[in-house]
Amino acid sequence: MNARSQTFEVSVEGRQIEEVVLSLLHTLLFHRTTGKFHYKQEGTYAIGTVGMVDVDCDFIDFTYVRCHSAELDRVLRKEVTAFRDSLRSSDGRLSNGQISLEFYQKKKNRWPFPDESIPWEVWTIQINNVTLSNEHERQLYREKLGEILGEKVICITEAMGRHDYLPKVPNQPLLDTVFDVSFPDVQPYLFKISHQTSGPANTSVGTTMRKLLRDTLAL
Amino acid sequence: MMAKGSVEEPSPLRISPVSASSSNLNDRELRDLNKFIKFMAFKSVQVIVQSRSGEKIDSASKAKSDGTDWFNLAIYDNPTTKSNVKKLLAQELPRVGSPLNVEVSLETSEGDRMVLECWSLVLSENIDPNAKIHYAVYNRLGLLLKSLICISRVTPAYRIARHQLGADYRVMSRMYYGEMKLSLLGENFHSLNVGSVATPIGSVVLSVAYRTKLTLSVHQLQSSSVSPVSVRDDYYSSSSPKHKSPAAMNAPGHSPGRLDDSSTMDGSSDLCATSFSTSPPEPCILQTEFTTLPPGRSKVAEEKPRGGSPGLGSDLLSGKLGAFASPKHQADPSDILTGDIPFSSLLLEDTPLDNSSKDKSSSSEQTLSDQPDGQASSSSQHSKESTQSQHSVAEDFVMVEFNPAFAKPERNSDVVSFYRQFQMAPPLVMFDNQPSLEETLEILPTQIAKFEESQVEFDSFVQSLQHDSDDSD
Repeated sequence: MNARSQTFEVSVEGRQIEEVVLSLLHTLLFHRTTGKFHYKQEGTYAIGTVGMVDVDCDFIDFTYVRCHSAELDRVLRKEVTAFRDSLRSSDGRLSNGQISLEFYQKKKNRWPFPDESIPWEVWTIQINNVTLSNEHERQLYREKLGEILGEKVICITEAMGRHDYLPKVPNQPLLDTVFDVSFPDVQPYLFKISHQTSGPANTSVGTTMRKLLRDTLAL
Repeated sequence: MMAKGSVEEPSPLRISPVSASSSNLNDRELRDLNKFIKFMAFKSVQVIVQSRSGEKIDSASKAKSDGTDWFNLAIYDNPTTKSNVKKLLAQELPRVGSPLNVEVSLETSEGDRMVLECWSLVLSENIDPNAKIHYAVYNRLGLLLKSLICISRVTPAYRIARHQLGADYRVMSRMYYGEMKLSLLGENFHSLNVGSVATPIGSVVLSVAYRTKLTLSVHQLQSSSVSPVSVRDDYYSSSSPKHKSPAAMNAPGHSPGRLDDSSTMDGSSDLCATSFSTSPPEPCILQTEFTTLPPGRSKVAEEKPRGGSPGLGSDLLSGKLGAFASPKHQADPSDILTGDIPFSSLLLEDTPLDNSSKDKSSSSEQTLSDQPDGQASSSSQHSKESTQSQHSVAEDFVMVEFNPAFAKPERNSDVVSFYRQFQMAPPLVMFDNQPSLEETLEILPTQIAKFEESQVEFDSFVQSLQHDSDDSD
């Protein structure tokens, strides 16, 4: 089976990287997280409750919702911080890069073969770094970026609403092949985050952004 | 929620069963499906209303859910909203052709109202006869609810609602059945499909239409500002009702959040107030599209009496009146010098500032210093010299208009003339005819000789005075 994948491309300033990536990752995981399973007798199980938290961005005019799980938030922040640090080159400039959230399920193999990880959904966020020249442009862009992120959230909900393939809920012994049971309060589908850089920031992107801002001001 | 064929039974509710003629559902499945749709409506309305309350949501996750955590989501049930929705759903559920609508509108303190968005939950005719009620439909409805939670933070009304705390407007919600009133959303409104879940009796479809032009027309503002804003005499007293909402003050007997019992059909007035503004406004908090609001408000502000009206106006407005300010003063860049400097009107006349002749005593002293040495300086001579100095000031110094404090340069004012008249003691009559300097010098030796002759008399006079003072002790 081929994993379905979707890529978002966002142009951001350096200080906006974390919030942009976190907002999209948390929105995805909010949809792909359920309450903790508690198995009972006769093959039945009860599902816990997922809480939610509104998060206001500091550098973007945007608010997103995440699962109420400090541990899950900590895991995502750690990955995003590592991604942001990887984009910073030795001379202090920021390069472009991408970070991927992959949902997978494990397939247990018999010894000596290792377990397989089979992805079933991959979300990729391509980050392009731009440099804005003055505070007026920054203010305009933080509003514009808020609208852009809103469009991305709408795309995510449209994809989630298609109700495409989701791994079947297993019985208790195989629960950890589909879900990540390491969190104490919530139970997301098994996921992993990876990132890579794609070279120094393309100056033409900055030129494109300036043109976009000029067009916005002209309106 | 118990899965795998075992479903927890919440408390039974009165439900109007939807026709299952086209489905293969048994009674239990149909009953449960109607219950899912009903609680989907309950929770959707809670999400929408709470997201427009202006407050951030923070609900805790639970390892074990209770009977109120429908769809395994921690959505707090506001009691007022819950009772209102319950009344609405007691009569009918959302069905084909009869959507449940939640209309979100903005109301200013002047009474202007603008519909921001309209959410709609409806059952469409698109059915999926193979959908499993107790697992697939339930979980997908939960997923749809999560999408609603995320999208409710994306539409423009969310940020407007977040800023209403501390502003002089509030965001309100209204629920009704029937067709959405899209004409209230203005031109070029956007429609967005939140999502849909197919069931054997129809698809549960959730959508939203929201306004893109967030402006109040000048006409609306002018019509609301015909009568000037009244300033209550008892505003600062503790018993004044200033903390009530404008709606509550304008409609006696209307308690916020209470819905009309008969409000189930279109045209109802189910006002579910989500917040009330009582604190001073925060400057520059609305989106930039709200361009026509400040100038209209400044018109209202100019009609206010001096001192301004509490609760209205902000640093953004140009009509705010400061102390001692004229209400008719229009800020003009050319007047910025005379407008900003305190008491600048005193500087408007052509009065040079570099002379020190304001101090009359100093001028008198200067005149005295011009006198030759050896001259006896009596008080009468001093005043004589000062009187002469007044006439000579015009030659050596420039007279400075000495106005009373805070006074305007109006020459006909009684206060000014009185002040000038009694500013200095009037000259004595005996000094009207004064001898010249040569005459005085000629008279002096003769006067001195006379005083020397009468020296004995002067001494005895002084001694007599001393004796009298001793006797009086």
